[in-house]
Amino acid sequence: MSRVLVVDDEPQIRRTLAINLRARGYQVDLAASGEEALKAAADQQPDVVVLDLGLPGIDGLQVIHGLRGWTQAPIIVLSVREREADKVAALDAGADDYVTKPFGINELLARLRAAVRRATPTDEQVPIVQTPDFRVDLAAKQVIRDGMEVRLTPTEWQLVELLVRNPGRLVSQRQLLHEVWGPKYREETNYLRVFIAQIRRKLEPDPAHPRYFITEPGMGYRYQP
Amino acid sequence: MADAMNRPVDPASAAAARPPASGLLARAERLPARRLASGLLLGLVGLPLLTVALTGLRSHVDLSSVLLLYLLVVVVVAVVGGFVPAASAAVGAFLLANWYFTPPFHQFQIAKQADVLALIVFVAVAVAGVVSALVDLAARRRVEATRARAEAEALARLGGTLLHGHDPLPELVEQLRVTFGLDSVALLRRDRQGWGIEVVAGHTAPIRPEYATDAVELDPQTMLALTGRRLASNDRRVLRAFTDQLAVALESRRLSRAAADAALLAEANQLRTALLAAVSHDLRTPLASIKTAVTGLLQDDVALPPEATAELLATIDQQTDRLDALVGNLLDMTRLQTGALSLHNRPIGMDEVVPAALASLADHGRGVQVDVPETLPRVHADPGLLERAVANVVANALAWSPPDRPVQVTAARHGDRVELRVIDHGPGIPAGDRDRLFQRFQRLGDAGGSGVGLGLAVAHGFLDAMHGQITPGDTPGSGLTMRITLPIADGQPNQEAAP
Repeated sequence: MSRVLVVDDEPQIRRTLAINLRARGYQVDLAASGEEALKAAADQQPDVVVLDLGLPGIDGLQVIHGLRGWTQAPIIVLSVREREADKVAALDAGADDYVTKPFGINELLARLRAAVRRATPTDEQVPIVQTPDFRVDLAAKQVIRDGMEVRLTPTEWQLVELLVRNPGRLVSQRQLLHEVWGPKYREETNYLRVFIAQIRRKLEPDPAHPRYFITEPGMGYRYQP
Repeated sequence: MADAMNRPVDPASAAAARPPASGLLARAERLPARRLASGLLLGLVGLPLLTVALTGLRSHVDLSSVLLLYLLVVVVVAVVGGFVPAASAAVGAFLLANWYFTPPFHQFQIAKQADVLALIVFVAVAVAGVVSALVDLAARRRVEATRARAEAEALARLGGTLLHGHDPLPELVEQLRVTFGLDSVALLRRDRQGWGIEVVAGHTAPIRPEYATDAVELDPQTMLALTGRRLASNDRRVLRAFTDQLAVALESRRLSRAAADAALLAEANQLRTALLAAVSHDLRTPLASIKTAVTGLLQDDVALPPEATAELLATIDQQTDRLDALVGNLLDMTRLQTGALSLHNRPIGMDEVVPAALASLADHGRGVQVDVPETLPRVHADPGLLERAVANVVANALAWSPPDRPVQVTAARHGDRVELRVIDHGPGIPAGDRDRLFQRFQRLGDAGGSGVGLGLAVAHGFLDAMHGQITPGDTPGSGLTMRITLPIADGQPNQEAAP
């Protein structure tokens, strides 16, 4: 089973997370400060890290930088900081997801599952993604809705493919821009808004209230299967 | 180089280089050369012309008329050219009169006794007239010089007033009143109701421009109203200088007010941001624990072991207490800030307050070592507020204490005050950061500690309101020692107050 390192300076949060995660079969290690977190990560080699940003001593952001120096284990940030700048800074530093406190344990568990799924590469391909509203055939590069093929532009297709290949996982704005438009594109988030809106018009049952292609404000997009 | 130094000094530039005050004085006493020359010329031309005209009429005019006409010329020469040309003209006129108009004609001899007398009288009158004309002139010049000096002084003072850093308006207005010897001077500003007084000097201020003897508009919104004597037209020049300076001072007052307003707003904004950050952190942290525990309990995908369920429920219990304490502190802080705090000071023993404060804490302050003698004099304080203040300080000490080093609370008398010490052995706070400790919604770093952002600020605010003090210091070894001092209630020891 997966090994999770929980880093938070609040003992109550550490305790409640540990109880919930252990009940679901995760192996849980706890750390109360940035220093402890870096040491525990090196010793225990966790599969995923749940990290608070406001830590005594070494700040959470520095912990992300420290971890990214040697491990690609997914990092989910847990924080009361809800400003877009804080989220962007954490994601840019190398975090994989960002959950603001207070949060429901379901949400955190779902993010954890998505993060772990991505981190454990399976050779098994997902050639077909089926939802109640549409079907994406990744091998045939084809989208079927109500028995009819939906025509997507090449850019729209790349975005859809990237998102559905990471079900439940936050894909950051920067990653989308980088992989679809190229390495020179970093700040052009307005492109994303335009293309995601087009994709929603073509695939969502109610484009104004997206059910599949979710915007995470300031952070990126998430495909919700 | 030597050339330049040996060059004769140009009189005009030398005159210009003289300080203005001595220039004013000099001009009043000595006439310029141009006027001296004009006087001489007038004498030289006027006397012969008059003589030629009079010789033609010699049979029709008598000597006294002739002398009167000469006298007229002499006086005119005196007014224009001063004493020397006038005296020369008088002598010239005397000789001309003797030569042409006293028999025997064309000789410097006088036949008639009466003519001798007339000529002597003429010379005497001419000299006296010239002198009196000159004296009058000098007197008038002296008045002008004095006036000019007064103006210069007034203007210099005026210039000096604006150079000082503080708001020059009151001083300017008072100077204006003194300079012109007025009863009162007021700057009136037009507002919605009519006129408001911006600055005033003197006792009977004109509250509307209509009540003033004199009113000058500085700008469409501002009038300068003067009462007392009516200003003469030659006062206007200095008044103009005053109004110019007043306008500048008014503008600078307006700007500094706007700057102060902006600074106040910025401060309020900063406080609001800090408040939001503190509230967001302090409220959300316990909320996060509660939410995690509750959603964990609500899950039905796994069966939690009974001890896990009990632990989650205990977490919810503790964290709701913590939230309640935070909300209490927020309300207290708001009361302090809005001045809605009502004090009910009475004599109260520290030995009563400390146990009550500990009882209000989570776990009833278990592990805190208390040494507060019952024999200490009582202090003058509001029991409820003092209890909250002490509880907050102890809670802060507990939050920073390592588990194996208990917090100590001791009390002792120092002169006319009682000092309560809350001693922890935590990491302590660097001396440089201690000033910020009690700032509203100030937390030292957003990490760690529980409720640091509000508790100490509330304690400080309460103690301040009760004329108490709270001072942070070092615990020998490591940690923070908070000293709370309060005045003794009328020197009555505790046991004597018991009935």
